[in-house]
Amino acid sequence: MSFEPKIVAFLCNWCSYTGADLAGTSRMHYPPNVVSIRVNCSGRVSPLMVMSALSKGADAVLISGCHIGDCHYVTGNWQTEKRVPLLKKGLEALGVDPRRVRLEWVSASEGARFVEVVQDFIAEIERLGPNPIKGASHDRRAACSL
Amino acid sequence: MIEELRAHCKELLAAGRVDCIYGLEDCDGACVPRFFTTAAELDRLVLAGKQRLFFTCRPADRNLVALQQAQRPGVRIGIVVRGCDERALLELAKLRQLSLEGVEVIGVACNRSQAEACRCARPYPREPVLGEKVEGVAEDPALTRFRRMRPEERLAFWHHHLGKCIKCYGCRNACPLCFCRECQMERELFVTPGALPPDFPLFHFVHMMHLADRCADCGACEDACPMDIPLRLLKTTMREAVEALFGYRPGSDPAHRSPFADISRGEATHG
Repeated sequence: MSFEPKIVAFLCNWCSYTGADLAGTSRMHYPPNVVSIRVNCSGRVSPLMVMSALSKGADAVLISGCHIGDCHYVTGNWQTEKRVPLLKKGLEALGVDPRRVRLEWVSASEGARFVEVVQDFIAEIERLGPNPIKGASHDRRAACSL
Repeated sequence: MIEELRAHCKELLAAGRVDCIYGLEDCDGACVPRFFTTAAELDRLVLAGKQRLFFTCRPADRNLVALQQAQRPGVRIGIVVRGCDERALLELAKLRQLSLEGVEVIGVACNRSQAEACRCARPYPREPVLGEKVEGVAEDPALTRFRRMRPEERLAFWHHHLGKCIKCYGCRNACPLCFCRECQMERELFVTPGALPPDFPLFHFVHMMHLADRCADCGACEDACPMDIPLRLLKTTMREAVEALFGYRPGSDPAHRSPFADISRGEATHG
């Protein structure tokens, strides 16, 4: 059976979610592997939320927000920009491929770019294969409760 | 050494330069932090191996220095610190958990054997009043081995070690820099209540991410762990990542603030 990656995308309300919406209303096609979660700002996305998604079944996580300088909360995406590289180092320390997390800036008018980003990301995750930590705690506990 | 320290503290008290001294007291073999206000009390001041000076975890009133400062505005406190204690002190001040105003830092450098016992890389405060600065331990062999591991080996390594966790919260409680009123390690969203071992790797991931820009490298988390989980490997890796990405080292000059405490854009690179 071929591997269908599941990708959780945290999209900022003002740019990327609207960008994804534009892709939809423009009838652009992209694979249905993305589960979108709308957040007010990409700066709201905590590394814990990303790790939570990865450990509970996602193969990869996309974080997307307004381009630098366009944040509707002025400084929100600056925080994201600092946090994501650190999060990647954290994933590396645990033995998870940091390529499973991607930060991309997509504006409200970039529906086509959103499609490109998603297609490219899915292709990369297909090459990487299933995320090794998904469901890890569940399996472990099932083994312990015997 | 300890006699010299006691004499120095007594002098400070007698000269009226400080109102009290904050340090560790020997209580029949156990060590607890306390305030010393008289010369007689100072005879029980000790510098005890791995005992930490700051306990800030909930309930919030465990942060004794902040309590003292709140109750007696303008109080001058002499604080006896080793390298790790000073780093914790400076980070706590930057995070506004206590004030450095009126604080007289009494720095004590650890000797080589103490540094080795703690596997400490910087066993001295910035300006030690007592003791000589000695070279820290170069690198923990466990860390060197960890660095060489391939991703799948790391994953197996953490599956083994974090799977031993009994969720006692000892690492968090012992940590001098853990003070959130609402701890994310207790949040049902991230950590399933009543389940053992705790969610892999979220439970430990919370602590390692939160400590990345403030860890004093005191090793209290690892010492507190009853299951011998090598938690310092995670803390050190994250601390090094912060230094490599942003040039920030916890416990540095009070004017130098963490990139994450600063809302400006900073030196970040696209991730």
